[in-house]
Order: sequence, then structure tokens, then C-alpha cells
Amino acid sequence: MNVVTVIHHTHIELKDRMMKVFHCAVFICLLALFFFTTDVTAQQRKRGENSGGINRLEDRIRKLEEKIEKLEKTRISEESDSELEMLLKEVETLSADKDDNKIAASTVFKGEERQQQQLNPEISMTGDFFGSYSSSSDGRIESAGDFTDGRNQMYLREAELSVMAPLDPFTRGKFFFGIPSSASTAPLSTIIEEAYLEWLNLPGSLNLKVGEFNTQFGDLNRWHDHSLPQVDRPRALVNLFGTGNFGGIGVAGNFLLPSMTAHVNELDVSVTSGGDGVSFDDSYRNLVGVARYKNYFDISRNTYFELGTSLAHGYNDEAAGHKTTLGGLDMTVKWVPAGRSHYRTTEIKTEVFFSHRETAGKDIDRFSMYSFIHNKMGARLWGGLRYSYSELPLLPTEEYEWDISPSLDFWQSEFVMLRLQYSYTERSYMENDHSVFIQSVWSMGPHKHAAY
Amino acid sequence: MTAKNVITTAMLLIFLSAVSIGTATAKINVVTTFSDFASITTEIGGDKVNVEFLSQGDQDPHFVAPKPSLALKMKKADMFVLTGMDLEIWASTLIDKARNKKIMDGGIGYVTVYTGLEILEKPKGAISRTGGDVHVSGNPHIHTSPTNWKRISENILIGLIKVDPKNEGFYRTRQSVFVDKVDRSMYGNDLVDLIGGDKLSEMLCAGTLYTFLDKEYQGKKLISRLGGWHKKALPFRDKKIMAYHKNWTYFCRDFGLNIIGFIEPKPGIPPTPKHVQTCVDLIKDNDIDLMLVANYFEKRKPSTIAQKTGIHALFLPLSVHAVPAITNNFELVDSWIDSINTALKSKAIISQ
Repeated sequence: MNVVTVIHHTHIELKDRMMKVFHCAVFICLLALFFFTTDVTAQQRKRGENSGGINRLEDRIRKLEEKIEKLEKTRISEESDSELEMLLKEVETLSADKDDNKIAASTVFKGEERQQQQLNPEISMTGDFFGSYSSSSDGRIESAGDFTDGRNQMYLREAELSVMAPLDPFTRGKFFFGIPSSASTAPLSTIIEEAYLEWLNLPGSLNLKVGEFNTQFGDLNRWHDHSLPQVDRPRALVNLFGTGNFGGIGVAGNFLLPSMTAHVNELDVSVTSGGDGVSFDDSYRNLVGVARYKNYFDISRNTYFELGTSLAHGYNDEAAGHKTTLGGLDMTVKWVPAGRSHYRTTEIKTEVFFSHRETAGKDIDRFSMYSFIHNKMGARLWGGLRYSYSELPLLPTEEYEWDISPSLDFWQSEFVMLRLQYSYTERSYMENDHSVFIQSVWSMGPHKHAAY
Repeated sequence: MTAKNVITTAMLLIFLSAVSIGTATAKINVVTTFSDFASITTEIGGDKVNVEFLSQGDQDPHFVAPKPSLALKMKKADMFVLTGMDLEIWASTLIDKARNKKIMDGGIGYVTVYTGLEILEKPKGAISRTGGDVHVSGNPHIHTSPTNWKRISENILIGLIKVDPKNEGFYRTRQSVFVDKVDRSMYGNDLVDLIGGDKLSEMLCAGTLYTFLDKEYQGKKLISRLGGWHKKALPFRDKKIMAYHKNWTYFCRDFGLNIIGFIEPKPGIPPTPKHVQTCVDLIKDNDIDLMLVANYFEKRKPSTIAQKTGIHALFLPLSVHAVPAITNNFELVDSWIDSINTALKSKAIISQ
């Protein structure tokens, strides 16, 4: 065999083999295609058969899930409820009254039948001390009496005891005792300054007093010494009523009237048995009548104005039948800034008096007045200035005096006050004088001056 | 229109006018000592009451002059509402002047709002004025606590029912609404709905509220549910502060402030230079940021102390109507809490 033949045979063999391989591959592909198409068709058929079952299963699953969710919610709710219950129990514990109400076996029993102190009246004491220097050594000025409170000495003007309480649902009782100093020239005895019973809310808007009291003649007259805006009373008042108050034993009514000539109108009327001993005879048979008509105006939220007219009438010499008539006009303007009342207040008060006095000789007509300004300059400090002019109402000759008195008050607290005052007094009937006062007023207990 | 018709119409109009006048005058006249009680009375009484108050909002409640015009207001009152402690000593003078039996102590229209309240700072042992202007029954500045308003409103409700029993239902409903409003303002809706306002108030007064709020509920601490003023007040809770006077005791109890010193050396005693220096040292030693001062007190001493220490002196209205913008108790407490937060924020900014 030659090479060509060999190559030819080899080529033919290769060709046969390749054909066989090709036929095999085609067969395998056809077989694969057959199996694949058969499987897909079978699956599709099967799926179609199972779709109904799947839906049912899905329904069941959904229902189960809903059940589980519901159960979960119930479980959470039950847990919350029990948690809340526990919390609320805790609340009970934490907010429970901690007091142990059990009564110990060793308890010693105590009754209240002897413990009636709560019903005791309200008791207060006020001390009023001053030391003074005067350039005059005139006995009338130096010694305490109806002319002055005393000069060139240290002086406990008063220790006042006040006792007050409601007596029953309808009445109040008030007592003010002035206890003079043991250094006083007068025998040591207690002086009743005021002692009265007051019925409240009587018909006609009436409050009615019986007992001993200071009359409502003008404004300042009723004030006790320790509550005055200066150490001493203005000469205008002293010359009419002495150094004390114009009061007496009797009956007094205060009517709260319907508003007529002002925002508030009040009428005070009193009749006392016996006068002050200066303008009015202090004989018990001397009935002295006093009346005051008050007009009160609120000018603004911080300022008010008050205008009062007063009248007093009675015997100055009961035995001789001589009478005195006093007329008065009082005006007050007070500014109290609501938000600053601790530190600022200004008060201006003026009173004017007319006196007609019958005597065995010629009747005496006199005029007197005073005016002061009192100004709060800080939480503790007040400054004041008073001017007073007075024609002497008892003397038949026309004599007069006037004084000017600046003062400085230091309030250590609500209950302790220190005051420095200077007074210059010029008189037509005796020597002039310069006076300096140092005063201290202190109070114990609940009583407070109820001025406005 | 015939003459007969004219007459009939006129008669009808007259009758209706008379009825309307009668209805208008049928309102209950209430006078309160303070504007804060007036505000609560208005909340309960609504349009069935006329309410007036005696002390002006910016006035020191201790000192009110018993002026005749105030007595005249009380003369016309069907009901008089006061604290009932020794804050309004001046009220007794007015009661005696008013000529009105209904509002006398123990009368049908006399209402003391402190009744049933837990009074703080009751003096123990012997009482004397060495402690300054002592309140013998304890601290009477009860209105600074919203918790107290609930009991105050109960007392006012009782008074209104006594003087106007035919409107009891009306007053009771409004009082419940008021109490609910107080609770929700204090703690927010979530906690009130969950626990109840009364229980929260009881825990607050017992000092256990914040221990309770530290507990968990539904995976979260209860304090996360806190709302209202208490939430707003959280930034200053447990903070040490100074105060001028013992006005703020109940407010501090409610909102957890801790007063460690007073500008007054003793209640009612104005500060001395020596005491001012004591305050300066106290503030520096304790690193205090805030001083509360009722705005009727002087500003000079607190301002001096503020300059020396850097403390924020906060001058606050103590009562309703102390400033025109504050017309009720809710606005009042809003203003206090907002002012404190603002002051502390500005202080923090400055110190940064």
C-alpha cells in the first residue's frame, strides 16, 4: 500500500467516525428535547391540578396567621393589664398614708376638757418710750400733763395692754388699758383707754358700740399715742382736748350709708356722758354729742381721697350752762403704689377745727389746723413733716402758737420702730422752744393698727 | 296694629325685660381676697357668678389696707373666699366693717380655701417673733401649687353649692372639668389617662412620683409618657435655688426645686448688708444659678447679689393679674416655668 492509499483510507475512516459522532449527537439532542418537553408538559399539567389545593392551603395559612396575631395581641394585652395592675398597686403603696394609725398599748390618754386656752382673747402689749430735750425749762412744757407729754426727761408714756375677742357670733369686745410708768407723778393705776362692746351688722348697716371709747371727731383723734405719725399730737388737737384722746363713756353708732356723695359714705354718731375735761366738762351729767360724715373716693387704683366733716357739742361748764361747739374738716390723700407698697407710700393729712366756746364773758371763737406729709422712703424708712397752727380756744385773749416738726422713722421690723423728731414751737403767750425727741415703740402679740 | 295689640306688645316687652333683668341680677356675687382664688371661682362658677377680688395682683398679699371701698364690695357679696390662714389678717377688719352676716366667719358664704390642704412649714415648738414675721399655722402661700388648686376648687365648690344650691350640677361639672384640666396641665394626657390625676397628685405630695416614673411600662420608662408642666420643668428639677421670701414653697414642692437660702434674713425682715454678703457666699459655695423674687419686692438687693455672683435674679408675678398678660392661674404657672427655663438657658449660654 502506498502512502496515498493509506491517507485515503485514513480520511475515509475519519469521515465515518465523524458522521457516527454527529449522528450520536443529533440523537442525544433529540432525546433530550423529548424528555424536556415531556417534563414541562407534565409539570404544567400537575400544576394545574394542584392550584386549588394551594389556594386552600394559603387560606389556611392566612387564617392561622390571623389566629396567631390575635393570640399575640391577647397575650400582650394580658401582660399589659397585669403590668398596669402591678403599677397601680405600686401607686397605692407609694401614695399610701404613711401614718401609723395603730394605737400603742402604752398610750397615756389625755383629754382636752381643761385645755380651753384657744378661747382666750387676743392679748397684745405695746410699749411707748421717748426721751426728749427742750430748750425751755418752763414747768408747763417740762411736766407731763394736758399741755405736753413732758420734756427734758426719759419717759415711758404708756404700756398699753389690749385684749380683744369675739363674744358671740354677733358682738366683739375690746379693751385697751393704759398702764402709766411707775415714774409718773400720778398714783400708779391702770387707766382704761377704751373698753367697749360692739354689735355688728345691725339693721340699717349699723355697728353699735357701748362702753368707753374715743369719739370719731375728725380723723387723728381716735388714734392711740403709739400709732401717731409723730411723737406728739398736733398742737391744734392738744389745745382742744389735751394730750390724750377726746373720748368718753356712752353709745356710738357707725352707719355704712348708701353711696351718695362719694364712693363710700359713712356716718358716725356718738353720745358720751362727760367730756374730755378741756373743751367739754367732764361731769357725768354732761352729754356730749359727736358726729362725723365721711366721704371716701378711690381716685385711682393706688390713690384715695377722704373728706370728713365733724361736729361736737356739749357743755364746757355744766353747772353754769355754758356750751362748746366744735366743727372740723378733715382731708386725707394717700398714695400706695400696689406693686411697690413695701417701699413707697405718701400720705397727706390736713384737719381744720373751729371752736365756739360760751363763757361768762364774751364767747370765744377760735381756729386751729394741722397738716402733715408722711412719706415712705424705703422698706424701713419714713420721713415726715408736720405744721400746726392753733389759736388757744380757752383763753379770752387772742393767743396763738404754731409749730413745725420734721421726723424720721426707722422700722426695724413690723413690731419695733425708732423715731427721731425735732419740733420748733413759736408761741405768742410764752417762750418759744426747740425740742428733740427720740422715741421707740414696740409691740408684742397680734394686735395691729387697722388704719388704711 | 290696634291699640289693644300695642298695649299687649308693650306689656310683653316689659315682662321680658323684667325677666331678663331678674335673670341678670340672679348671678351670685363672690368676693375673694386674691385674684388667684377669683380665677378659680370663675372657672367653676362660669356665667352664674360675678367675681371680684380685694388685693391687686401685684400687691403684697400680707399688707392690704382695709379701705372702705373694699368693705363696700364685701357688703354686696353672697360669698367671700379667703385663704383662711394668717396671711389675710387685714380681712378680719373688713369683715367687721362689711355689715354682711352671710360672709362673717362661719356664715353660709364664708369659704376658707386652705381647708383640707397639707400645709407646709408649720412652726414646731414655741412660736416667737425671733423667727421674723411668723405664720403660726404654717406657710399660707398655697396658691403657688397647682396641686393645691384642686382642693381649693373643692372648697369653693362647696361654698357655691351652699349659696346657690339650685345650680349644684352646673358647678360640680365645671369643677370636675377644672380638676381634669389641672391634672392634664400638670402631667400631660398619657399619664393622666393611664394612672389618674388624683393618684399622680398623691404621689407628688408623698414625694414618690419620680420614683414611680422611673418604672417601666410596655418596655418604656413611665417618665417618657410625662407631659404638661412637669415635662417642661424637668430641666430644672432638683435644682438648688435662692428665693427672696417664702412665697415659692408649694411651687418648689410641686416641681422639685430646692430652696437653700432666702434674701430676707427672716420672713418680713428686709435684708441687711451683712445678710446680703452671707447670701453671696452661699450662692458661690453652692454654685446656684437662679433666684426667685416676687415682683412686688425691691430689685436693688437681688440685683446687687446677681452682679456679685452671676446668679440670675428672676422677678416673677406672684398672682394672676400681676401683669396684664396673665389673666388666670394656668397662664401664671406657664409664665413661671417658661421664665425659669429661659433664664437657665440664657445662663447656660452665658457660662459657655
